[in-house]
Amino acid sequence: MSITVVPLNEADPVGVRELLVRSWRCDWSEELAAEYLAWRYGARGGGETLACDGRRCVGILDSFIRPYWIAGRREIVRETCDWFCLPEYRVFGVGLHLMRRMMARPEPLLSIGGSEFTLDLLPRLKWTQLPSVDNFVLPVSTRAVAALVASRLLRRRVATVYGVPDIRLVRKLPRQPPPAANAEVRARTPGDQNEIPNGAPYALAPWLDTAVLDWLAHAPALLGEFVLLNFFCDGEHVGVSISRLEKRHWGCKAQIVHLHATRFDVIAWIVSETVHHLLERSAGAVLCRASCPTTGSALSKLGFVRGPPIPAYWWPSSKKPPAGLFHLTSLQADNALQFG
Amino acid sequence: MLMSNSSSKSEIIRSTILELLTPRLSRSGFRNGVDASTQLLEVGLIDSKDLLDIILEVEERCAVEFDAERIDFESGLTLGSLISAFATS
Repeated sequence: MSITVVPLNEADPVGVRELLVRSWRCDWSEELAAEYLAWRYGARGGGETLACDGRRCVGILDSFIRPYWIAGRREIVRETCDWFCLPEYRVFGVGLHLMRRMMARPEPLLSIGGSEFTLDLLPRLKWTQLPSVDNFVLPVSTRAVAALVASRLLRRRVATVYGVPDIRLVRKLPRQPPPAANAEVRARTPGDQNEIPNGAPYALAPWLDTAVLDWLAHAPALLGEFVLLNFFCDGEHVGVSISRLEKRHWGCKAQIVHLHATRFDVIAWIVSETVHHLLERSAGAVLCRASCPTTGSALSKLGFVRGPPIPAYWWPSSKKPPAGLFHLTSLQADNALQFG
Repeated sequence: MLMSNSSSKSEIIRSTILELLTPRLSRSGFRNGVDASTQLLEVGLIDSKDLLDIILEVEERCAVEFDAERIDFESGLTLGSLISAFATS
């Protein structure tokens, strides 16, 4: 018996579910897993390849297909994720085979972060390194900081943070003044008719559309809540922010998933209002990934601490975006959908 | 002519793999010679990371591409099956 590679919709659904739950190391009930998979793959679909040994699913490489602005042109890019192979099949080069098939597709590929294995392998497969994406964190409470540090160092959930006194570290957060006298922030709800305006002129940035916002707004409860905010200046729609709030055993974790702005001069205000909103929702820590220097500067002014940068890779080099400002965040692939 | 090109390519792949296995042979303490039927995993000559290194090195040096769909899982990974998993045409 040798390996066959099939799209997700041609594989045994139970086998797919078992493989994915194992790769995500989740202790989910069948019902939870089915709900999550239906949302994640059912509505989106189309980007994943599975390796099967007979009817058994033994490896997967997923990708999100998303339009990007690349130096003023709209192009489709694949963001790879969920590269996983059962240990007993790694010795047959199955994972490499899946990646090679993905690399043979016509669209360019983008990968941000990933496991040690992925970061070691991509340059060896001749992927081009892009400028790294910066990692920021705003520690709001001591218990949140203790939990984040412990989970990063020990790579597991830590119960000992219950003993850490929960002292608020952020007393008064500076507020960035709005760029216009008539400025307004409104929560965005699914089905909102406000179209997404074109973004600022980055050399590389995801093309945000209403479909992805509605999809995130309908995420299953196990991911927490996606908070979508619309920003207006003098009646003009100038931006959108996407954040995720998760209830953890130590408190509430907030992640700014993506910021979309039509102009650079509104970014600091959008960042500031988003962070204030998340703190009002009891965030114990706010995390954000950003490659845009204007966003990074706005985060720093609010007291965010810069962490180790995250490597980003692109395939093929012949379709590499031109040098310039890149706007890469946690919107890419499943970076906004991590659990645990 | 095609056949001869193909078999000489296989020979180049074989000698490249053997060369790459040499340091692993002494490291693993494997004393018997490696032939086409040697089970590379079972005798502890390579693991999944070693295999990846070998695949990428052979591809680079021999201008061939590895195709995992050519490997029969039931027969295991032998030197012979590894050689034939590299597309030579």
